[in-house]
This record gives sequence, structure tokens and C-alpha cells, in this order.
Amino acid sequence: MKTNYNRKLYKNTPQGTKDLLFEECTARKYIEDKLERIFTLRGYNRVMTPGIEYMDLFSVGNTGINAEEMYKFSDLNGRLLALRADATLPIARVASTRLQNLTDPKRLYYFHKIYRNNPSFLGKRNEMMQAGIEVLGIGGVKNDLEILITAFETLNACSRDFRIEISYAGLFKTLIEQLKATDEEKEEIRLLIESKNYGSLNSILDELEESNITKAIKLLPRLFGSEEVFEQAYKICPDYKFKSQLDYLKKIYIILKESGYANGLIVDLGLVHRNDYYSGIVFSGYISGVADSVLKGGRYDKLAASFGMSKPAIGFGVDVDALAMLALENNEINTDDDTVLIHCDNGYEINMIYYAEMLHGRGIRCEYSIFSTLDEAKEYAKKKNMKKIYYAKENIEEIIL
Amino acid sequence: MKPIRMALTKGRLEKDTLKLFEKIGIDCEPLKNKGRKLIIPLDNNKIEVILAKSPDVITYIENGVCDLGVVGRDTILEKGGSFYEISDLGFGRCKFCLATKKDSDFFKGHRKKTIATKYPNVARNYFDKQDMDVRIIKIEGSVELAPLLDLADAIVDIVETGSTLKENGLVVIKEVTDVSARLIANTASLKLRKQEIEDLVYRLEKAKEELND
Repeated sequence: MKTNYNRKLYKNTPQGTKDLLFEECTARKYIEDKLERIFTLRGYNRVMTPGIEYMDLFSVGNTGINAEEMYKFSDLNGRLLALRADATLPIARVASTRLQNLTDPKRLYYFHKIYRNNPSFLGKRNEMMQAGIEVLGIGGVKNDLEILITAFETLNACSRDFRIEISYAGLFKTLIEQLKATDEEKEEIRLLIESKNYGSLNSILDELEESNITKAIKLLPRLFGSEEVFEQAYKICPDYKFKSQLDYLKKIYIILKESGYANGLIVDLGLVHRNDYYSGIVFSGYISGVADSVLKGGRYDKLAASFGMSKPAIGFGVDVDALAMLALENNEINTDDDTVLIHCDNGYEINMIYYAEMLHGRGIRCEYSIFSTLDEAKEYAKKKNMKKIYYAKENIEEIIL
Repeated sequence: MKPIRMALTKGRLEKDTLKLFEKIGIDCEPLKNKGRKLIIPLDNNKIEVILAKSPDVITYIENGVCDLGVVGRDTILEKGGSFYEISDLGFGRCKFCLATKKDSDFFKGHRKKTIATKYPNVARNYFDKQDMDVRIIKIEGSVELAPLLDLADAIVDIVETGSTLKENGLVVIKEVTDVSARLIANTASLKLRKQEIEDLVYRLEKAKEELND
């Protein structure tokens, strides 16, 4: 094989990725431990799926992941593979295969890296660490509440200033189904609601025949806030299905409020995820200091059905990178270094090993000195801001720096 | 209380934005006499203003370093991104148009047509919708030159009065879409600081209506 000796080695990480160093690793571990405790205390069990999957998996349901966003390649049989582009789909795959006979409800959690190809120079991450939980098999009010409370506790453990907004995926669908418009127009309307683009939303709806439905859709993105939203929402559409979905959302809202979760809770009926797979409660979480939503979730019964499980499913994913970055910024990460150095003169290695391992046994963070002289060891220890050197001979001598 | 940070588009939209601010009783003198200052506090430090090039306004909003922004819809259509587009401020009105040389029939024949534009994404989206397969060339300035030099069959560009086109013997053959200044918001900011932002937006919208009357 010919090697190109002239080619310069490109030493930086690929776009959208980075090396995590020292306290960044500590911060990630700190958040992971926090979340893991929240999840395990509620009876969730951890799963790890492979980093690569058949690409088809990410096209199941209407997930809104475009093929061009995936990192793809093929196996030796020519089958298309992709780096994990979504967290929920692999979990649904596991639940419908190896876990199909596990007693329902199945409570699963994960810490997974997600890979997406983003356009250049937007500062977006192409590798993201996501944590999440999923409940599969049995649904209902209590299940929705459990998930929402867990979402609250997750953000509450990481920030003092956060919001969780809730909505019901069916509300928009009930309205849009009754609208006389092409599928393309409907998707455009959804996008405009999602971006709270009141101006363009009004103009596209004004072009259609005016009805109760067009009026209701115009108001939808403005319906966000606290309890008063429900009153306004009941007025916009007399439809029975719309009303019963709203009743359900209100019931959830009231229970959360009366359980002491009113602080930070918002209703946003304009929350229309691009993921078509949500079918019931949907929610997003925001934290002060982070530009985008840090938590996203909802009920996805229909998606589970695409895997042959006609059973309820719900879950959420949370952005671990964002939470870790915030913990670092808020100085929650202990960066105190209490490392000590153990040194010996040549010939005393046996003594050094004996004492060093005794210190490690006591849980003391102690580095082996690999320098020849004590002076070199001292110089090194000072550069690293160490407070102490253990000098091993027949006995051990403590040198305070 | 942390001020609401706003990114305003420099140049064409700047004057009208300030007019709107003054209408709601914000003293804009610090902004007019800003000197070399880059971040200018207004309204007793309740607002902080940054003046930026239009695509940067979107970048600042998307990354959450500014809460609100004023930017033309031309930039939004070209650059895209995820943020809330909450209000049409009504000024800076113009149109994206398809224009070609007078007396030439753009739609004639089956040869693949070439389009010169400063806004390749806008042009691409427009022709995709028409199911028309065209070749798009990005030009950084004086797009009107392209048809005159026979580099392109037509151009997609912003037209305010149409006088530049006329002087160069070009005519508008299709209007692509309307453009005006928009108020945009970072998604998280709107959730976390709902009351403050909504109050400000409400005042701006009222002022806009009064100015239009």
C-alpha cells in the first residue's frame, strides 16, 4: 500500500466534537451520578445500545430525522448503517425484541451519545450526551404524572431557575385534520406555530376559507402561560375531541400544581414538535443560562406500534452536556487537588511501593515520583501545587512544601 | 434584574427601529452617541442593545447571547435557524423579485436557465416550489450586472423601488415573497422571561400601530 508521506496530519477533532478534559469529565460524571440516582430511585433499569444501528431504524415512524443529518456507512454486506442519531428508537427496538416478555410496565433509562451532522460554523454539537427514561407497556394519568415529576426533579436537581412547558400533541392534530388544506400547507402551518411566527401564520390562514378552525389555529401559538390559558383555549374550539384532550391536560396541570410543582410549570399549546410520533402529553424543559431546550419528551404510543407493540410508551431525553456545562459555570464541581507525591532514592523502590500502596489503601490520592533526585521531585510537586511529598526510605518521611 | 439584551440590524433598519423605541418612551441618545461602545444600555439598564450585521443578529439569538432581535425577513429566509419570529414590525418593506432583461422571455425554451443572486437559498426554495430545475450562481454585489454580462438569464434580488432595475434595463417578471423587519426571540428566553418580553413586545406592537396610523 502506498502511503502519502507529504500529507499533513490534521490534529484537531472533527467538526462539532471536542475532547473533554479533567474538570469537564468530572462535571459530566457529577451530572450523570445525579440523574442516575433520580432514575434508579424510581425503579428504572439501565440499558446500553450499540453506537451503530441499521439506518432504517431511524426512519421508523415519522421521526423528522433527515437522512443527510445522519453519519452513515455500510457493513460488508452493503447494508446501510448509521451512528446513533436518536435515543428513543433504539430503546423501542430493544423493548420490542429482547425485552418483549419482560413484565409491563418496562422502566428503562440510558446515557447515550447521539450523533447528528449539522451545517458548518453554527457552533452546534455533532456529538451530544443525552440521558433519558422511557416507560413502555402501560400508560395512563399516573404514568404521565410519574414522567413529568421525574422531569421536574431532574431539572430541579440541576438549576434553581427552570421551566417545564406541557401540551397535548392531539390538540393541534385535531384542529389541523379538520382544516381544508394540502399536506404541504399543513406542514407549513405547523412550522409557523412552532416558531411562533404570528404574522406569517395569519397570512397563510387568511388565504384559506375562514372558519372556526382557521380562527382557532391562529390563536394556538399565543396560548401559553399558566392556568388562564385553559379558559381561553376552551373558547377557541367547540369540538368534542378537542375539549376532552384539553380536559385531560388541565387535569394533569391541576394535579402537578397541587402537588407543589406549580413553580416553573407552563402550558404552551403552541408546542408542536416536528416529531410526528408524539401522541399525547408533550413537554419541554428550559434552564436559565442555556439557549435551547434542555429536556424534551412526550407520549409516543403510535411509534411503539411501528415496532409491533400496540402498547403505550412515554419518555424524555435530557441534554447532559448542557447541564454539565452549567454545573461547571456555577462552580459546583470540586476542583481542589489534594494529590501528594511519593518519592524514593534509587534502590529504595520496594519501600516506596509498600508505602504508596498503603496510602492508596487509605484512599489518599498519591502519585509515584519517577524522578531520580529529591530536588527534581520537589520541583515537580511545586509546579503541580502539591502540598506534600512522602519520602520513602526504611521509614517514611513527610516533607511539607 | 438582568437587562433584556437586544440585537438590532445596522443600517437600513436601524433608523426605523430607533423611531419605534422612542415612540414607547425609550431615550435613544446613548445609542446615537455610542462612540466606540459595543454594548449600549438603554431605559435605565432595563435593555442592552447591540448593533450587528443582519446574519449575526440571528446567530446571537440562536445562541442565546441576545434575547430579542430585529432583522429583515430576507435574512431569515436565507439563513434559517431556530428561534421565534414573534412580530412583523412593518417597516423595511420590500420584495424578493425575479427579474430579467426587458424583452426577453425567461420561461421560453427547455434549456436549463441560470439565476444569479445574493440569496441562493431563497432562489433555490422558490424554484423548487415551481418544480423548475435551474442553475444558481451566488454573486456578492451588483447582481443586476449578471444578465447584462450574459452570466445569468435572470436574477433573484430584493427590490425596494425598482429604480436600479429600470436603469439597467431589467424588469420584474415574478414577485417571490414580501420582506419586512421582524422581531425575533430566543426560544428559551421567551419561556424563562415571558412576562418581561411580552410586555416589551406588546408596547412595541402598539407603537407600531400608532406610527402606521
